[in-house]
Amino acid sequence: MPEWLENLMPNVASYMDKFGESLSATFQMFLISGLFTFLFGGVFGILLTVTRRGGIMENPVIYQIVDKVTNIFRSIPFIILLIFLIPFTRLITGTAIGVRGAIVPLIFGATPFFTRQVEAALAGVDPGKVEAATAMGSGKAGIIFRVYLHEAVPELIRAVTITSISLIGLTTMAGAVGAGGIGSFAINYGQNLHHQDIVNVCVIVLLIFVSLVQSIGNALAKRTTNHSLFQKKY
Amino acid sequence: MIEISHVSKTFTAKENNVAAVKDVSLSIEDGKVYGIIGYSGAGKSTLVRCINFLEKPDSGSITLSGFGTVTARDGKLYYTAEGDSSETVLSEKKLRSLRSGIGMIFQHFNLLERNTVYENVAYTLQYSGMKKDEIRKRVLEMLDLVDLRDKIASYPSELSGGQKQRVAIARALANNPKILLSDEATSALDPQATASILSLLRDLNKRLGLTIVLITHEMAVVKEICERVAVMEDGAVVEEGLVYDIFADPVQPITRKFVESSNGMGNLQKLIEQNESLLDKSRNSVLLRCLYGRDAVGDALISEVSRKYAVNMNIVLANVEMLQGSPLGELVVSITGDSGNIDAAIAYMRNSNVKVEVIADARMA
Repeated sequence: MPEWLENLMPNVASYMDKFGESLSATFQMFLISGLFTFLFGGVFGILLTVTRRGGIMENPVIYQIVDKVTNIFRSIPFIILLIFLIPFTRLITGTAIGVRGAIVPLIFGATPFFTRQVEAALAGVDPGKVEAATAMGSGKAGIIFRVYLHEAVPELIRAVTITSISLIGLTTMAGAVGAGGIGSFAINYGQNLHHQDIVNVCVIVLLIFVSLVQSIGNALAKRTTNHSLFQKKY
Repeated sequence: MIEISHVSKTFTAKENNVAAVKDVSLSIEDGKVYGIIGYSGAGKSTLVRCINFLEKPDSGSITLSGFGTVTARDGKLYYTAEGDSSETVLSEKKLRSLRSGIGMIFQHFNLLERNTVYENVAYTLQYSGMKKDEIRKRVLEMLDLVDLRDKIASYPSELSGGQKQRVAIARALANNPKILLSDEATSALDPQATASILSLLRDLNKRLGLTIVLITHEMAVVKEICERVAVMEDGAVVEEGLVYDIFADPVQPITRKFVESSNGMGNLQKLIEQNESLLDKSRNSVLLRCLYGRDAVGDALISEVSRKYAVNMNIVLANVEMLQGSPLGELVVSITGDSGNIDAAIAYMRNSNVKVEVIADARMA
């Protein structure tokens, strides 16, 4: 670290190793829980879309179950969810603390949010396109992948972006179960030890990361609106 | 042949049920352009969606030559193969194969916005086991057919309405269907694009022997390309026949309205209401509407009658329609003169293959 930077934030410099560990913990939580969130939320969002009234696989029972469960988990504040899920987390991962202990509640916290985002994205696909595909003899899978998911790509990218940002916010709370990460670093080494420069650096790092995610998301969403991601040549 | 037999469809809502299609039977010959006209809510869209089972009829059956018969009963669809008598539940696979044999185009095109023109046209060909170069060949062929080869890499958002509908037509026909369903395909287009799409459809009908079932609320469209037409009102077919006959002699009030909407007769009614001078009340004066069949269009009837019966004939409106290559003349004249001569003149015209209808008669007033 250059000298001027060291002078500017002396405490960050002396806790550099801890800072690095925290960043890495945050990224681990974000990437692993993000992966599962997008997977589960995607599946549930599709399920809500196809099983709703008038959907291509109308099924009131499945729709009601997914809809209600999504609502229930959406209404529990994350910090409560974190402790509420401790027994379940222990069952799944063998431990309820540390990064591994935080992943399960993170997935539970973000999936309902992403599910609703996916549902809204797919609801934006013109039913006329679905009708046209049906008329051309497309099956259920064809309609889901070639019409719904394909046409909703820009909206899905926006959903991934906004859920990612919200997930980064959630990971900072995971410090409550000793998962570490940038949130607990800011509290333990910044706030509790009265090192304001540490808090400031945490804010800046998060700001950079969130802006990065947002601008990549925006660029991709813009590029894929009424357009394929890649240039097509014939 | 598309044989629609006693098809009914009711939409059940919480409060009230809507009978969209009520016991409709129609037969549509192969290779013909068949029009179904009606106001919105008349059930024509629902009826045409029953042909490819986008809507499941409550009862009735649909027979498609080369495929077989599908019968709706107790909320289920049953299939009978051609020349077979055994009935089985219509499988998903069979339904999809039926749909692949019927192309469909829509008012709002329904193209995939994130797909290029090429990918849109290739939609039914991809994942069908067809080889890539065969797909390419077929797509190019279709794009040539609709004259859009230069737009191959464009996206729908870069095309005009007429071009989008051309892509939709190419997409609908890529699979080589024998039938094309057209649901208000020109309703969202400007007059020029409408004309070009209609002439393309007529051309496809002639060149490929394509059967076209065309829904519209515009009589001008029917007049332009249909051979037969069914008029729908409140879910039922109220009149059906050759377009020429329907135009020459519309029976139902709604059919008359449609015919008048396309030939200026609607304006005449307004003119009569607003301007009474069309009919001279002080004299013996009668307003007539004359329809000439194909045999009478060439005759110099007006001057002949005028001379023969010493009556004055004033032409208020004149129009000739070309329907499937046959002329249909229409003439509105006011005739003045001696009362007896007027009657004799009308009788003479009726005898010379002209359909005469008295619109207003000042002698009665």
